[in-house]
Amino acid sequence: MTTRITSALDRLSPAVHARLAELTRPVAYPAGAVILREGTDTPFLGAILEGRVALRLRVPERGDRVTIVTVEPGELLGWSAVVAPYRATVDAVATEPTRLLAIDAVALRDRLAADCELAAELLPLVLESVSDRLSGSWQQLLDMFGARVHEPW
Amino acid sequence: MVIENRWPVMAGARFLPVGRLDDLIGALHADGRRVVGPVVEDGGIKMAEIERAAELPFGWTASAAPGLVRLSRRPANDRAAGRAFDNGPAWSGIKPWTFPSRVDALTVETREDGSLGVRVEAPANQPTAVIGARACDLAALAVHDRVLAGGPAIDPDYAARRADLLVVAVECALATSTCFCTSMGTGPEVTTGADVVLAEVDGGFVARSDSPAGERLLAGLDLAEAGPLRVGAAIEQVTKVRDAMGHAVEAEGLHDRLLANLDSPRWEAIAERCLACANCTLVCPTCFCTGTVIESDLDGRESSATRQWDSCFTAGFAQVAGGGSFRPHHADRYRQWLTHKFATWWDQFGSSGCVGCGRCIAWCPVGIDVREELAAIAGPAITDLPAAAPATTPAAAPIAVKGTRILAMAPTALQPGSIRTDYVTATVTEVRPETADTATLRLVTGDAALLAARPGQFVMVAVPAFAIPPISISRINPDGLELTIRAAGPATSFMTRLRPGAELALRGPLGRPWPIEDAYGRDVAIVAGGIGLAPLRGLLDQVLAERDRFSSIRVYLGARTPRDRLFVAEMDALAAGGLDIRATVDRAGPEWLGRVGIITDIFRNAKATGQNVTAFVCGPERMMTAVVDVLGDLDVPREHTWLTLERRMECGVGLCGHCQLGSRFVCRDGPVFSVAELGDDLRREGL
Repeated sequence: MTTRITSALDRLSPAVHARLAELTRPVAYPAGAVILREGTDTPFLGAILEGRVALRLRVPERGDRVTIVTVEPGELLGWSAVVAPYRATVDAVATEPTRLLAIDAVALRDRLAADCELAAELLPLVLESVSDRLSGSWQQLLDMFGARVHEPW
Repeated sequence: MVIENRWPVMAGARFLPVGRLDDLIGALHADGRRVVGPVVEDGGIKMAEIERAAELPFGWTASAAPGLVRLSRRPANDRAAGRAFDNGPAWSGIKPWTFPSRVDALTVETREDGSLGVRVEAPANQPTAVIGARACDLAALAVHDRVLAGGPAIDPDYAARRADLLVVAVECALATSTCFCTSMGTGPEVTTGADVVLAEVDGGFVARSDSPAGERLLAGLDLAEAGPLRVGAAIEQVTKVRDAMGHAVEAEGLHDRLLANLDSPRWEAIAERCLACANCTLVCPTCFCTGTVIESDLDGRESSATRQWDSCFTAGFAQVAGGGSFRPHHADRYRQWLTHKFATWWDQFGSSGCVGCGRCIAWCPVGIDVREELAAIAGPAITDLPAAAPATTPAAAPIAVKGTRILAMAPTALQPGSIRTDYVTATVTEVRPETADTATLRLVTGDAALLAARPGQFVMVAVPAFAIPPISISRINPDGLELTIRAAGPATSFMTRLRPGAELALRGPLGRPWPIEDAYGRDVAIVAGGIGLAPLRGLLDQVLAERDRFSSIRVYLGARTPRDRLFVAEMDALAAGGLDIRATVDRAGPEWLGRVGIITDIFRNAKATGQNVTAFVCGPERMMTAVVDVLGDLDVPREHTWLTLERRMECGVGLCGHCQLGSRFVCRDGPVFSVAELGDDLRREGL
């Protein structure tokens, strides 16, 4: 099965896409690589092309980590690159060999402040990414597949 | 006008002097029947077995108001002081005699040799004659005939009692203030359903027969003709009752007007007063909901199941796996009751579920009056036509109500009596653990009907000492079935711990299967969450067996954690064979390298249109509604999106009422429905 490579940035207009390309470089990570570390500065906003990135949180007092969600091709990684205080809220770990387009965080923030058209196109994509994570987390909180307390039978 | 119309009916009527009532009772006894009639007991009139006429409530009269029933003695100088039936309908109606509150249903036992024995109790009925049934009682009997003996599954106890019932009805000479049979077109004239009809006049009864059995009974009494004076008095008497009742409920278009007001604030207002005590359903002559109560001996080798009256007002009535209820609030339950009686009953049975007897009004401890609530919730009839007085329509025929749009719900394949209600045994040959709390039982049976089961159907599974749960069929083998069961309660826990060689009793297959033919020539998407994969597994088997008939096949699987995935080896093998299977889990440890996230994430970013997709979805209802949303965004047609719903199923055949959802019984009309069929009901809370 071949995976069609699409980038979340494909949804931008050609003009904005071209201006953003100046700030963008392709990056590849082997499986197991730590791409973002919780609490540290987010170096870039990434658009996953291929592979899979697990967003993990450390379980308090147990030391091990739980995967909250995975980021897949076509999705954005690292919204915290453009949202203060610009620190990663989770660890991001490649669980497969992963390729992504990385937009430098500092340069992007400068450009967003200067280029209204670019901001107007890109920020909704970032918001959508945050919104998806949020609603996904809420549904996970419902634990709808979870063990039930009591059944009549 | 009514008087003129009534003369032909009364042609040939005889006169039964009051002193000869005992001859009538004696003739019924001689016919081998127990005789049931109204008696005064505990301050009310109920139907009870009687031996002689003197036990009837001679000289009593009754008054009723919301929340109030009073009996009083007529003064000796009252012209009606010598009458037996001039006191309104008995609170009990005749339901306890045709549909008793408790009936033995089933015995399940482990025999000495370890095998399983199941005995469906045969109806143990005594031929019965009822004296004093009212027009409302007969209308209710006709309603029960449709519900309990006219559908694809027949209640054997009811059918037996009904076959042996002889009815001596009485036309009402008194309407209490809670009576409204004229509004519902069921009375006060007795038009159908009786063998003999009596009208109580001075000195006795104008009696006419309305069946061969009734004619034999009257002929045997050798009575004189009533004559025009007495017949005229009888007609005038019941006409006065009709006139006194007026037209309290506007039945015209009530079905649509009620269903258009499911969000009325009035439901909450009623709930402030309603105690959810279930009195209204207990006195209602048409309420038919029942529950199954299991009683076990101490060593768990033998248990018996009884069918008992239940009520949609109780907290547990709509409770499902997990302890949650689909109708958690009093307002939900009152809405269910009222909309079923006056609206969705039409869709299900072609008639109103209310006969206008008013018992629910009189016996409501807080005096809730359905007539008042209907007017407040449904509003006036939307019509320019003058409201015609309801004709004395035969109770057995649907009453045509203008402006009522009836949804055709009855599945055409389900002929009356076509659903079997017996049990067969099957032997467990393998128990395969799937997860920590779920196991698949491989069963072998020679039963042809079970072997002809189709994916999406379910079976009721009985073992001694436990409740009888509905379990979906997860695979159909040439020699038997597989059931995948999650241990969530005592019965299912027991079943997941069975050993090979154990026997189970199965009733089924039940319910509507997945409509696989709907996907022929189209792209198939199978979307399963958690244990929801079980009923989809048989479908997947069939889809793969007919692979060439579909454009493409994709499977989307969601589970809570990697350890909660079902049929892992089987799905891995299919994926390795080239089947497009995408799985996600809600949470995972670092050892899991697959996808994590909610199931809708898998196809949310799909670029292709879903117009050629037929989707089959099963999982928790919250997951299914989220999936339906995303499928809708992708243009998957609603009529090609199929779900299997979870509701409390006790009988599995549309007789017990627990799994009702609007105009459907999920067990019988579903559990598989298309999103288009469900419409707004899919998301409406408390339905």
